[in-house]
Amino acid sequence: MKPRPQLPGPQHADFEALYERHSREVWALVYARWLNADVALDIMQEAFLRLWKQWQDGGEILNPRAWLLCVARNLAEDFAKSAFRRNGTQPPQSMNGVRGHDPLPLEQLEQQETFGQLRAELEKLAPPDREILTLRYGLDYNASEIADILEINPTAVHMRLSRARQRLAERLTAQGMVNLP
Amino acid sequence: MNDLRTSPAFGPSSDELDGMLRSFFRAEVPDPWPTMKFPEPVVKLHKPRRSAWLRIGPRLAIAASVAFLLLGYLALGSIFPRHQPGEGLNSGDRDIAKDNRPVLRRVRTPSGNNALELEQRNPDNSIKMQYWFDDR
Repeated sequence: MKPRPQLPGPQHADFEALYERHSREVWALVYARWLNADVALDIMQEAFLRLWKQWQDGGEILNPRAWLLCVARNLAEDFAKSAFRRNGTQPPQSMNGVRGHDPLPLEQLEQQETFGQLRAELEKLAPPDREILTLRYGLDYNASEIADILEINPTAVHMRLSRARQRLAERLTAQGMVNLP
Repeated sequence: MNDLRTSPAFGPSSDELDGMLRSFFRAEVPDPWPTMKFPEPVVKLHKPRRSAWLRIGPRLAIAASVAFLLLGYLALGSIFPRHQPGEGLNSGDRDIAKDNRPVLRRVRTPSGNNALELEQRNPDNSIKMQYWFDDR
């Protein structure tokens, strides 16, 4: 059996560092599009895989982060056209009850019900609103980090986030889920 | 670091909403975060290198076939010469020494009359000439 060709070490390490730095934000952008953590993971890994192949083929990418975000957004949009999306599986909230055979604690059931309602309301928001909410609450990014990813200035981040929260709060209040001042 | 939750531009603070959003999104983020799985490097299978003869053999065979056809054409052309136009009874350019066939020519007598000349080689290599007046 022939020995497998070894990849150059620094490139491998560089790629791992890149994955460590940017994989969460790539995931967050895709997640915000579809509100599906598994699909977001698949697409995130596909984007990194494409970057890896690009590197292997000797392609020069000046800004890997921007490249990854762009590819991930495109893949997320393409997902809408894919057979998997059209034929689909059950929506995540309908699968909440099949997580295990053991009866779930009451608190967990309540939380899942709340999350199901919240997900339904989030799905009604525009994708940019979901993006900013995911980055803020999912990854706990601050304004400058969000501004960097979305390529807007921090003031716009505050405004967008405020409006997104406001729109969501109005919907949730109408559902009787939260009481806003 | 900018605290978005307490920022004045952030809008009305709602611990309830913030808490709900935070716990929802945190639950969605994969934990533990998956490590990058590098794809197996693609090992290109090299086909065994063919010998030079095997690589150029087919081309040589084609070239030899074309050369053979060309030489055959030239050889057959030399064995069976092409019929020359104008060659015939009246052409007058036949090599009678190599041909025993009689040759009939239309000639004019010194007095200006038309005549037919028959030239014939005999088996002893003597040439027999015969003439007739042509009244046509």
